[in-house]
Amino acid sequence: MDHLTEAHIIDLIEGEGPSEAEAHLAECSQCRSAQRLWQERIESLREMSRESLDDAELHRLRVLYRQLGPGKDQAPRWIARLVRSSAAAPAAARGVASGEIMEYSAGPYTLMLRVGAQGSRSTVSVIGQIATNDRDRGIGGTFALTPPNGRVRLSDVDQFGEFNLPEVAPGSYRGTWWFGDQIMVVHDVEIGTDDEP
Amino acid sequence: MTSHEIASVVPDEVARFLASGEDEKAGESLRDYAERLARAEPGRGIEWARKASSALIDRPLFGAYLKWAAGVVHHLTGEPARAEKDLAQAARAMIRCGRLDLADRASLLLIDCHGEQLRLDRARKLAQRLERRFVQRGDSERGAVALANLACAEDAADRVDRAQKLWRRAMRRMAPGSLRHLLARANLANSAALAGRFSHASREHNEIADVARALGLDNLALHAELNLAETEFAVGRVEAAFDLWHRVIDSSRIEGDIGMELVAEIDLATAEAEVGELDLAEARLTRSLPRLHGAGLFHDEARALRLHAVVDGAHGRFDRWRAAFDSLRGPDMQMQRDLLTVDMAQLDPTIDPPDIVRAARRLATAGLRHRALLGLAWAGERFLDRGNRRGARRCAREVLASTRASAWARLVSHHVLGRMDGPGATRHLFRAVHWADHLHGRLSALSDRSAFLRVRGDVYLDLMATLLDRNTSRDRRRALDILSRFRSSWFLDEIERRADLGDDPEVLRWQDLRARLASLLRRMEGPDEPRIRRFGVHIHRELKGLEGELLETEATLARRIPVLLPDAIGRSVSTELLDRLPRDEVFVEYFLDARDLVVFIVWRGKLRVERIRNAAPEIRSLAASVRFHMDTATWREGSSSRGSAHALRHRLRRLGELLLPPLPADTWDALWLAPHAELYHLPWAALEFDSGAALIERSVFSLVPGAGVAAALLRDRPPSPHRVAFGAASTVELPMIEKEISELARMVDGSVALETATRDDFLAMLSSFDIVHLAGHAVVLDGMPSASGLRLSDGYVTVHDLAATRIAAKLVSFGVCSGVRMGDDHSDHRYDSFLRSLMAGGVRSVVGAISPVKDDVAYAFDLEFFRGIRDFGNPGLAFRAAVEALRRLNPNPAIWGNFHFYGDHRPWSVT
Repeated sequence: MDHLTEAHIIDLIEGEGPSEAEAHLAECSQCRSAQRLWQERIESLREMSRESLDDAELHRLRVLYRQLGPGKDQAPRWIARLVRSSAAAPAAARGVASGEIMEYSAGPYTLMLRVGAQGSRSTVSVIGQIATNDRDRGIGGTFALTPPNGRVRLSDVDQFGEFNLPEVAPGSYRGTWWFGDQIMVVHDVEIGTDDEP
Repeated sequence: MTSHEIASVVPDEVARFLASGEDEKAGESLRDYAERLARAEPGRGIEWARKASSALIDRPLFGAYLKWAAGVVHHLTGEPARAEKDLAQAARAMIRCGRLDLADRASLLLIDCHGEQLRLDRARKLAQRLERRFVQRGDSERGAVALANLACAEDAADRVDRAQKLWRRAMRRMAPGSLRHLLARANLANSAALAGRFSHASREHNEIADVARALGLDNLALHAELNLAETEFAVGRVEAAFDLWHRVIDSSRIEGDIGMELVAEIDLATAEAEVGELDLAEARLTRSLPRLHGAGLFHDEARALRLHAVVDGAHGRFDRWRAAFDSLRGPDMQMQRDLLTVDMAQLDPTIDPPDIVRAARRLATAGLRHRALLGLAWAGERFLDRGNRRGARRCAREVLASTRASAWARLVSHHVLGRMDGPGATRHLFRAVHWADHLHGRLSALSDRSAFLRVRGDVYLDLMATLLDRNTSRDRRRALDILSRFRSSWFLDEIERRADLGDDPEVLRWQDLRARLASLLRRMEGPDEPRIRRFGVHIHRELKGLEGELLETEATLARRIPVLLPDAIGRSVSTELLDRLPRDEVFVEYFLDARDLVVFIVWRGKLRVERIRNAAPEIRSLAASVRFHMDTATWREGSSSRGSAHALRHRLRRLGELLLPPLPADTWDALWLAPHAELYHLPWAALEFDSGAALIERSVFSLVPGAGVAAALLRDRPPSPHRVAFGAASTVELPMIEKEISELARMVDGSVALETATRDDFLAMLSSFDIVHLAGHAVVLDGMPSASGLRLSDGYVTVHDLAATRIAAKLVSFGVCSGVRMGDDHSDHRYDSFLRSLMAGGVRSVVGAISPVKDDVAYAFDLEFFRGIRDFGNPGLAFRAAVEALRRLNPNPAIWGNFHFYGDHRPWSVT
């Protein structure tokens, strides 16, 4: 059997992997090491997920930024900042379609997310694109959405910086993008939730 | 039992009779008391009956009355087995006292109890014996009661004809206007309703209610109103029925008749579930269940538990129904457990097939054959899901061998046999499709309807796949017919329905609901559009309730006005299309199943089918990406816009590689293109051939909902338009709208232009002009497309407003965002979008954008399009010229590929 894909490893961590994958994991040290790495990442994401920012949280994020931001080893890590969302729809468009668009900025990257309805189903689809002006930087890797409790959703990021996560349950999420040693973290992504009482 | 203990069981009045030694009077009084208690406080009644039933008393006649009274309570609180035991003991005790007359009177109720437990033979023998004895004694009225009670038993076992005869015989012997006569009449009216004679039943229930009220029989009057509500609901007068149920609930509450109140609550919840108001039904059931339990109304509690489980199942939640199943304990509840098993067998795929078979067998033994056969049919489906072909075949064949199997059970069984690739599998699939056509919109029980909606698509598509595998010329045609039936039959159906816009109560309700939907949108819509910015879950819920009601109205209409399939145009869709499509034009229909892309191509009198294996997942993924870029295009600037355009072009090239090769290599003049589901939202004009040329460069083309609609459009030449109207609701934020309207008005001589059109203005334009253009602002809801609205100066025109309008326009163009977008459910119903609603009203062509569009882009496109209309007199050419012009202004395909031409692209017959 080939080495396990990241998706298989995540499934195994979430207790949903196929039995052949488990058997492979027992025999393959490389995949076990990848599994440990993902386990640590997921655990850290779960800890970090929060919905609102009070003073203590802000302080925590600042500390986190110092830890995750550009460090001595020059490994670039960013916390994304919301630039705009469809709360302020483009004034010159002749109407609106349901769904929400959010644009984030993180270092040399921009992230555009579109959260769309999936018919009358209760889940939504999340499609996004990571872009950069810096031609020296590549695009690829993995994008993850992490709920406070529950299963992490993962998607590969393709050559155009695109990723697609269908059937996401509405809620508050943390988004994380890994590409090589670069990490972008997007806090408090409200997906498909209602702002009414 | 001491006199003190007796006093604790019987009321004062009864105790006084006992004290004076008048045991018979005491007994009669006690029986009346028990009946009142059971109706007003069932819970206390049951407690009292248990005490009374176990009391040992040294006054034999009164002791017998105690048993009788306990039997009455158990009968009224839905415990027929206990009632049967009490009443039998009472009758035996009466005989020991030498009072055969009283024993016979107590036994009258035993007939009912036997009937409720479906022990028909016992009920019949007892009824005959009692009737004979009462008549011999000269008490023919009580003899008639025996017949009436037997009628109830026959009715409970679905022997409706026998029941009706018995009630009629009984009524002839009863004094007209008496309580018994009224009761028999009410039962007969109920039975008439069950047989579909609703107007007769309705009239009867109304009269019974009036007479009962005049006689002071309030309880009977309420019963009659409860029955009337059922009848009104059955004929589609839903509002009237709901009013009646609410009235009965309020009156029963005032009267303290908790039994009646809760029965009405459960009836109302059942009706709410049937009209799709699942949340309301669920809330009502959640409120009522503890009260039903507390009141000891076990039979109605079981009914409510079953309904609650089915509502959960319809929501796709299967985690609670087993708890409901477990709470239906004891042998008395076996039938309820079995009925619940059959209901849930249709919804929950994890249910064990042998359990379904066992439940079905018990129901058959109990006389409920229809439900039993449906259970067997679904056991077959579930056996097949688990790979047990033998079990599946046995169940399906048993159902089809029975003359009593319903159309729904037959559909499921034919589908099972059709899926098994055995001899005659295709024949079975054809039969399943036949029954699916027949049943469309006709199933009312929530479990049946929910399951039908889930299985219907598979029935059609399984047959289509089988025909394509055989791949003869005839089978290819039949496959296209099946796809049309499933995907575009709504079109002819709607056109036929519109002819029915008279004073039909259901059509009026249909219109009323649409008006309510429009006003709800107006109420919800504010300057900051909260329902769009967020998902507006609360508002969606309210809208969904209305939508559910509308769909139920549709279903009711469909029950009375059968769905017209494309076959109804006289010939099959494929034959019609092959004959009518001009030789230099191509029709192509794309359908994605779970794995493959299926492409039907009609060209030069021949139908070809190509099946591209395993292409569906990639196409779906590309389509999702394309839509993301289209929907975010108005947002993007600078590098983001460039990056998006680059990615989009790559996707469109790949989609072109997958979708365009099946088109004929020769030159053709025009293309009719029917893309389904996810494919609809592609910017078709921008799809690229291998040569790098975009589809729009190759020829004139238009999109259609399917072969059925193309065939219908091709029947007539498009007439030349004369009257043109431009409407708008201009705002400060959209400055180009005003300019657009005034320039268009200058461009087209004799046109009418309104810069601040109201709702009525726009609807009037649609009903009296040939070409109508609207520039403005639109709100499109992907999750609920029919609630989408076009903003006019005084409010919104919704999709349903369009569906309710008599339309004269032949071409409608939208200078608004997402004007020709469709919903995400791909359910292919007529309220999926503005454009479908318009086409179903007779509009031949609709032009607009599939995604948000900027003010200046819409302005540029609209002006170019109408310039083409003026210059060419050919809408297809005008569209092509406008798209090309826009492409020259901005090469990003998200901008110029955003526009769709939908419907008939052919030149008008007289320019």
